[in-house]
Amino acid sequence: MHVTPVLLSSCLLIVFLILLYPVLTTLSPTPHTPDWAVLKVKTAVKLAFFTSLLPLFLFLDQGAETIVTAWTWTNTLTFDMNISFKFDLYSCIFVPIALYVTWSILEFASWYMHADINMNRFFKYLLIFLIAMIVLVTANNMFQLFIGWEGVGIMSFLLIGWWYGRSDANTAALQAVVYNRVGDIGLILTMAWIATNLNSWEMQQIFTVSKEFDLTLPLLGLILAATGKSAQFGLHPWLPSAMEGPTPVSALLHSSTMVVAGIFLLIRLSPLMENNQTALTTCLCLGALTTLFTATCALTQNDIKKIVAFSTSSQLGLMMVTIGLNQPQLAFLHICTHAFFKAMLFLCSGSIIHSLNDEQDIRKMGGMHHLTPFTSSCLTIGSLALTGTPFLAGFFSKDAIIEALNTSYLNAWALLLTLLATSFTAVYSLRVVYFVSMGHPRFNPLSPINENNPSVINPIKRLAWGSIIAGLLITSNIVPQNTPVMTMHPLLKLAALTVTILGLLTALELASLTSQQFKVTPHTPTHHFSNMLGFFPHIIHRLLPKLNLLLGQAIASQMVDQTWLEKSGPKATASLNAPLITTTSNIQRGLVKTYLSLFFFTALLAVAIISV
Amino acid sequence: MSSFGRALGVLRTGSRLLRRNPGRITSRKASGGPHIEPQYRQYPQLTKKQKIESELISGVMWFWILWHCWHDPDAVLGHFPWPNASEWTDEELGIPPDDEE
Amino acid sequence: MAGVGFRQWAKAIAKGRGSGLSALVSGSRAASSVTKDSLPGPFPKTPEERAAAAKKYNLRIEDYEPYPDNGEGYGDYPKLPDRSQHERDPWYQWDHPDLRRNWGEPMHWDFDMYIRNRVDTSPTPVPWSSMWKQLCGFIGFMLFMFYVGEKFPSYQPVAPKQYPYNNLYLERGGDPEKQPEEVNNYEI
Repeated sequence: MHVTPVLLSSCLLIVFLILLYPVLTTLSPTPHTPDWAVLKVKTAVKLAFFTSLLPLFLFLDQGAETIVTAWTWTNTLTFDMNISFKFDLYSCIFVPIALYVTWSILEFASWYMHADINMNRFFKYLLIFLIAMIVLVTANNMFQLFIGWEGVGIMSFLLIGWWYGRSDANTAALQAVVYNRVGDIGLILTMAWIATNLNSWEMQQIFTVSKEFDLTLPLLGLILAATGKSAQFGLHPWLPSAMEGPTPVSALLHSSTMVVAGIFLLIRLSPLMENNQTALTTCLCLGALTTLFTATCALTQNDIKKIVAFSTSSQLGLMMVTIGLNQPQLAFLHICTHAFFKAMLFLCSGSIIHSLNDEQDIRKMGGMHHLTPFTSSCLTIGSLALTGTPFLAGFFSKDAIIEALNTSYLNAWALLLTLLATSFTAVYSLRVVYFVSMGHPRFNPLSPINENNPSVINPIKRLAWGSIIAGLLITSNIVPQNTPVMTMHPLLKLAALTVTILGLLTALELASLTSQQFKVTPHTPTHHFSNMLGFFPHIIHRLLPKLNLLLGQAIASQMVDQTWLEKSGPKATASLNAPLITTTSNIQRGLVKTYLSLFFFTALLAVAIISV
Repeated sequence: MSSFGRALGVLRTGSRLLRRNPGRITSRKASGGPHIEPQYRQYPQLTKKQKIESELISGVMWFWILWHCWHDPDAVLGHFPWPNASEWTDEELGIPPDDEE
Repeated sequence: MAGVGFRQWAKAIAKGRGSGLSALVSGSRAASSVTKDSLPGPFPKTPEERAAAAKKYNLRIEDYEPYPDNGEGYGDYPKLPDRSQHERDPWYQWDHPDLRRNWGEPMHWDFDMYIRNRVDTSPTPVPWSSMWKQLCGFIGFMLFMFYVGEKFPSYQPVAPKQYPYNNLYLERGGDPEKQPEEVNNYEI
């Protein structure tokens, strides 16, 4: 037996054990010391990160991939359920990245959540979430993937509703869980279809057996699942609402790891999708619509976390577009680079929000470049990486995606929308930097501005290094599956950069308008459309629950009465019988003489027969 | 004894006044002191380390960008020149001149 | 002294038995049913009845408006405006701040629908009809344009790739016995 696969799988299983240890120790009845969170959880994640580097290097060096089937869970005549882990390109690269980002975020959280009395529980939740995420990423069968999928879903619910005393946080948590449930219907549908038609939930068997089936229905189920989890258009409103949760949660779940689970699912199952044009086109159009719509919403938001959340949603749309182009690897690349700079943007905004006494409105910030120099430097780096400045992390994935878009055969409108959204990225990123870092302070004069704390600086610094160099590192180390088109017209090559620069110029122009006097409240309909999130939450969240609840009440209290008591119960019996009774009595009215004479004649006959 | 204690107290207060600014920055261990208390209309105390680090990280970013722009401009501008069909001569394409019959 | 003690003891016994009996009686009733006083009363017909009903629901007589008496069982329950709790003042010291409700305040018939994390009826800057039209217009326009985009796709015209060794004839599993004619795309 070769050493490499053994090493690879044992290292990744050690990662699981290291992460599980602190969770299992919480089962013991002895109470934990207040520094349990930092001492145990952070250390475990850090240790797991360094452990997971070994398989990564093994993979990069020797291209080692392996599948470990650990244990047969249950088997019937035709169906096996196993615990099996897959350590391939995607999991070997994503696991260290997720651990690295989580490590930084946990360290940041130890500062941000310091005043929270339940900090240990908070860290435990984050750790359980991380374990579920790694289960999802390394799963080699649908059932295990489903466990991870639901695990991250429920942890997201618990963490968004962390401040459960606030009704808004509860609403946001409910929204997240309900929208995710809609997506889960798709996943369950697909799993059921696979189980009935392909008789296996193991990935490699699915890929081989599925060749001779029409996969449109299960693929649409998968796309629905990804739509719910990755907040694509139609099921997107939960992601901006999720910003009610603590900032470390937004950084970990709602930007870098959990929300990419939907895209990751499609990447994992992309061999199914390769030859199905319907599914690909659906992905492409859905992604393009999402990326433009959410970028439009981001343009006019004033809450710093909402802007970053919408930019996340927009990038998820871009990943969906890439899936639609049948370039899953590029989408994966974008997931990886996006994790660094988006987590960092959230940490920076968390640090700034905390410094300004929980102020989230960018109109009430300003001048942070002098007051929190390190945070605002990193905020700028993150924004630049997000817009795809050459050679920062975002460039390597984003530019590759736009090039692939330009050189593929695709829906022209989708291409146009994606390019437009790319330029919008530059607009809102610059807007954040302009309002937060530049200009004069506009905030409350009584502010606890302080970023000089190793638990703030170190995580941000680590992620900043990631967002500068990670793109090149990852790109130069993975072997592309599809041959990238290297020769193209300079116009196409520069398209991404051009639209970004156009966006930057527009943003500068708009920024210069802010120093001029204008009407206090904007009255343009487009502003309302963008600022009120395209009216989508207003329409959907008011109409559908109202209709449903009214219908439910009508059914429960009135229709049941109507049915059982009026239409089929006692009243119905009465009303059914009444006409019969009337008819019968009407028919027999005035016939007593006839009856009597009949009776008389019959009796006579009987007597006659007997006597004879 | 008590006067001595009072003098010590005055001294301590004085030294605290002198050391006030750096003293306010509480460097917090994992679960030590909380965040700093809010300050009214005061420039936050920045350490030199913070400023240098912020300049450094921005500098690294620009160095990274510019260094790569210098050494690897292909990634932005295209790896291979796009053939311009209008510049191809008839001779290269093997098309005989129009007047040759 | 002993007499007083005995009397008290007897009283306690009697009391205990009484409450035990009543507890037994009320316990025999199904827990799910509603007591008579928590059901709405009959529909008020005279002004005096209206005033009594308004008082019962802690409402002023001007604010009291029952549901129409069309046999749906609303009785004298007041018909409150369809406003969600979200609309109420967040800064007021409510007795129950989470529900934004004071003690003894009449509840909407569909109160569970109008709590803060369900249906929101707060006024919007844009009227409902125009929101509705704009959203539908946006989605419709996008769908139409995707259809158009599907009809006129964007692509870069490319010729099929040419490979050396006779377009990789052998490498692609061609028969070595029957080599096809070499195709020359050029002339030197």
